[in-house]
Amino acid sequence: METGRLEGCLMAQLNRFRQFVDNYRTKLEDVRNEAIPKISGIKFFKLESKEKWYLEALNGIRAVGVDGSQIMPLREIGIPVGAVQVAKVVVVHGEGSSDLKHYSAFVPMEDNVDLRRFQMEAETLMEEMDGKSWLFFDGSFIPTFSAELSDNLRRKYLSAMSSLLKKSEETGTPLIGYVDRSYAKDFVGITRSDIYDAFLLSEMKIMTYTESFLSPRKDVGNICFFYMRLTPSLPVRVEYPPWMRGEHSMVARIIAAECMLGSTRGYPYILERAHTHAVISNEERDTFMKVVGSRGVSFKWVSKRR
Amino acid sequence: MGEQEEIGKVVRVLSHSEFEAEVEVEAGDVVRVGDLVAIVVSVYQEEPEYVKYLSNLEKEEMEMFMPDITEAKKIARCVVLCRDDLSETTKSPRIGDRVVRVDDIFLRNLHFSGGEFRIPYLISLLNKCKDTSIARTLLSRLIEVIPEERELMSIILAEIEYSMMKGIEL
Repeated sequence: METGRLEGCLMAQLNRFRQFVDNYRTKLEDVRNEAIPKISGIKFFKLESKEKWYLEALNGIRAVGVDGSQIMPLREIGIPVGAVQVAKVVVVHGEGSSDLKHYSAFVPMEDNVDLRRFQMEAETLMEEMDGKSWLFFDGSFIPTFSAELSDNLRRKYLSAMSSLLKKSEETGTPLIGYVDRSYAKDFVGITRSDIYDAFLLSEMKIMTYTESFLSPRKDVGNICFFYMRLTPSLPVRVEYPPWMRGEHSMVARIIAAECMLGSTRGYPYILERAHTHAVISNEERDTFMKVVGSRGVSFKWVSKRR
Repeated sequence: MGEQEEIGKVVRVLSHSEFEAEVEVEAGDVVRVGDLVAIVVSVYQEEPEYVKYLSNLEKEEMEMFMPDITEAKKIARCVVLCRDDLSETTKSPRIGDRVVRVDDIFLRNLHFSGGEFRIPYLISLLNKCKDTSIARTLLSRLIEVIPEERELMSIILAEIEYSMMKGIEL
């Protein structure tokens, strides 16, 4: 069996690692240069540039951001239960009102913490589906499953995602999936090149966005997506259910405006706030461990700690 | 003494005997952080979170569009008095530690165990906190919860008031 192993510890391979990354990038750039002519038909649109245009765009918009974080079950120190915390931030832009709510749950080791977190995020978003609010989810609606994930877990993921998307359509509530760093390869069908979309579009102009596309991945039915570049970094991917397609330019405008409010101008303000409140700090993790208490520390784990 | 409700968290450690907490309290209140007992010596409003936002918006615009970050935080500066057995300490709390309010029963049991009244941290408190009204507030509360020692504490209180008057030119 050939594994490509190198002799020596990882930290002794830093130069080789850098070289490996450089070679990888060069290859990607070659592939991109070959693929670019094949996407010349993609339409790009400019965002507004008038001073404080984003306040006008957001005025009266009720934005809801939901994000979660988790503590995995700590097998090594004998705590067989994990935990999930979800934060929901609601801001009515232009009216000066806001609300914050937290939800939490305990997850036994036999259950999947990631799945529970997603289910809770979906549930929290669904309770805000009032036909008016703009809901922001941090991530893609098209899950990428690892080969190891069981069929049962896949079904549960897809079921929760389908319910979320279905309710958005039924209630007419705009739902946005914001993917800050996407490695999706949905343009492969057009380019026939194995390259991820955001890198393919890395030369698109700042403050522009693409037309809307239907993802070829149909695990949860049809999902629309587009790319938007607001900063010198790679373009971000935005997804939404197909019923919103007629409002594509409005969707792009609202999302870009949310980003303009954020501290980095490259990530929606409402998700930034949800993330801030969702994070379980190291101090809180320590407290959780202390309060829950360990039952039998793994000596293998202790022997590996430095 | 049962588990008391958390009223806030330590947000800053200033020295081994002083820390700040985001908490809704009044100056003179006694709080507990783990096994440390501390007194609130001042309360102030901290700059709201929006200062980290690189925005060119006016304050009024931020209040209307980003209302959740424009609320100022109420911060309490606390001086550590002792451990929860009245012993001296140089231990400081950690950022994120839970802050709980101390109730009258705890305060009484702390200072009046075995029929003996003790307040060993008083001199050090008066040295650390020049605002003598803090020590007066604490003593007034102790008089309420330990009425048996009213006379002694009234003398201490009178001494503190006398020292305050000495500092004022009448």
